[in-house]
Amino acid sequence: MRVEEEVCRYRRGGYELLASFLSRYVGDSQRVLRGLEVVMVEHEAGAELLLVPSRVYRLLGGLCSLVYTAGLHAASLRRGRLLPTLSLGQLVEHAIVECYVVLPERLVAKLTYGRSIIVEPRGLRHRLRDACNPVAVLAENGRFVAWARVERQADKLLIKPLVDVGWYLRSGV
Amino acid sequence: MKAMTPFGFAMADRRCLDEKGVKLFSRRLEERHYRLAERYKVHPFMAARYEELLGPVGARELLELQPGDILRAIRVNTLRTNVDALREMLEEKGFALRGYWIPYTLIVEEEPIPIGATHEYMQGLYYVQGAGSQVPVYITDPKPLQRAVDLCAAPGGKTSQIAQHQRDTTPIIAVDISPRRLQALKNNMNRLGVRSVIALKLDARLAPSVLGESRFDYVLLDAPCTGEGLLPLEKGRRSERRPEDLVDRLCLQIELLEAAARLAACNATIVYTTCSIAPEENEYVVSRVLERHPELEPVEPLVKPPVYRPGVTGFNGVEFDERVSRCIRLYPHETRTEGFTVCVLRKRCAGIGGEGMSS
Ligand SMILES: C[S@@+](CC[C@H](N)C(=O)[O-])C[C@H]1O[C@@H](n2cnc3c(N)ncnc32)[C@H](O)[C@@H]1O
Repeated sequence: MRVEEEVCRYRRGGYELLASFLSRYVGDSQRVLRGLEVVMVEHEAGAELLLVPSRVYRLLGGLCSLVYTAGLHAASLRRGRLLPTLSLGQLVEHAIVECYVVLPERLVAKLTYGRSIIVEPRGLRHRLRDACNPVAVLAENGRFVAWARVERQADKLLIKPLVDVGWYLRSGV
Repeated sequence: MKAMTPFGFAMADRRCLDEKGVKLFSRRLEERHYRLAERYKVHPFMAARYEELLGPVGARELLELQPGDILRAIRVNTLRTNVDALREMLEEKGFALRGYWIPYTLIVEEEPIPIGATHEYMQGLYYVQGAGSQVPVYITDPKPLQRAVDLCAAPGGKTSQIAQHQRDTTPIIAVDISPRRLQALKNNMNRLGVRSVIALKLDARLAPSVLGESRFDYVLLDAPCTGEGLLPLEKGRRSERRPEDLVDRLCLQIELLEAAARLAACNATIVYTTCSIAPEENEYVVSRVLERHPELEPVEPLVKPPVYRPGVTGFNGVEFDERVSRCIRLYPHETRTEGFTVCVLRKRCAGIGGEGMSS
């Protein structure tokens, strides 16, 4: 690649933020990020964190101004808050051991329409603590479904999706 | 003086057409072409072309096809699951599936809900992709560590298929001119969990000056085309197909393939493909570029589909480079897929050492 010296929007940044976010869900957040660079792209509304393999990162500098996107879009930063994306959930789904709830197919169906659901926690597999926000929602096949806010309502749980995989269809793109 | 076709469209401003090109579009129409056109609601010029290409019986078979005759297919995302596991999940939900000659392809025989609306789809376990569209990458099998560029990449069907072949280990530069389609590519890469793609918003004709010459060992050009291979799927719009569309597309295609040739490194594989069965957009385009690039050699693909036709070496009295017979043609009425043409070119080295790859 022809490497031009230019100020590049695609620069390393956000690793600590992302690793600390992930440590709530996975045993070893550095392990799930191994081999990947965290790249921060700033724009008017905030920033995006991208995950790219090191070999890809090395090419970014020279292409900078033309890059539309690279690697996985892992999170957005808005006013200092980290908002995880669907692809981050998918990336770590097999490593999640905390702050998750597993839902049966019929409830996944509701959630993937972007709807909130109220469930009885009894009978559901989950590991929830007060510090879990957002919670990773998984399907029974172990796959990631949504990042959601979970509130206790008497003896039930209200699960409000923040972003769910149904978005891939609803976005229409 | 303007050269006119029998249909009155001006050729003089289509500077990309050489003498052979002009001849390709000057066709004598017979009564039977008008009858065929009338019966199947297509332009008489197009009817004459189909008849020449496929013979009278083949042309009718093609034009008789209904959307339901074309196989529904998915490509299992082997980066996230495997064929057996996905098949079991979908069959449990009432889908009837069968295997195909491409090992990671499943044919959908029955779908209780649309195949593009399942949770497994949303979870990135597969991509809905016509069986014909899966052929160009499969039969050229890009290897891990081959530096790849996909010149007309969005929405990323074939980009993610290349990543699958390379086990997502090697950077793929995905170029497209349309921001809207690049957004779809971004969503698809995220859904499918493909990490190694850098998407560039760029006119691919400028790619060699931006990315450098002789840099890539796998160059895919899935060129914008008239989509003639999708004819069976578009009953209503057939009559809108015009010869002018072919001229428009092939001028751009020639320029794009020139760019692909420049990007290719020594010994690189260049895959030129369209979802069109038009010789004007395929063998003619390749022949034109071969004239100016003696370093390019059409080659047979690594794998051949069980049903295909070789590239055509002449059309409407115009002779193409005879090596284009190594191209692969998929006709919808024979393969039950969308129509596709794939031409594989190898770039030979100039002398010892040639143009090497460096990072
Ligand atoms: C046949 S589609 C590509 C489909 C894609 N390869 C896939 O498998 O998903 C052709 C693409 O070419 C793009 N295109 C058209 N002209 C272009 C140009 N000059 N440079 C780059 N891309 C171009 C269009 O935006 C369109 O996305």
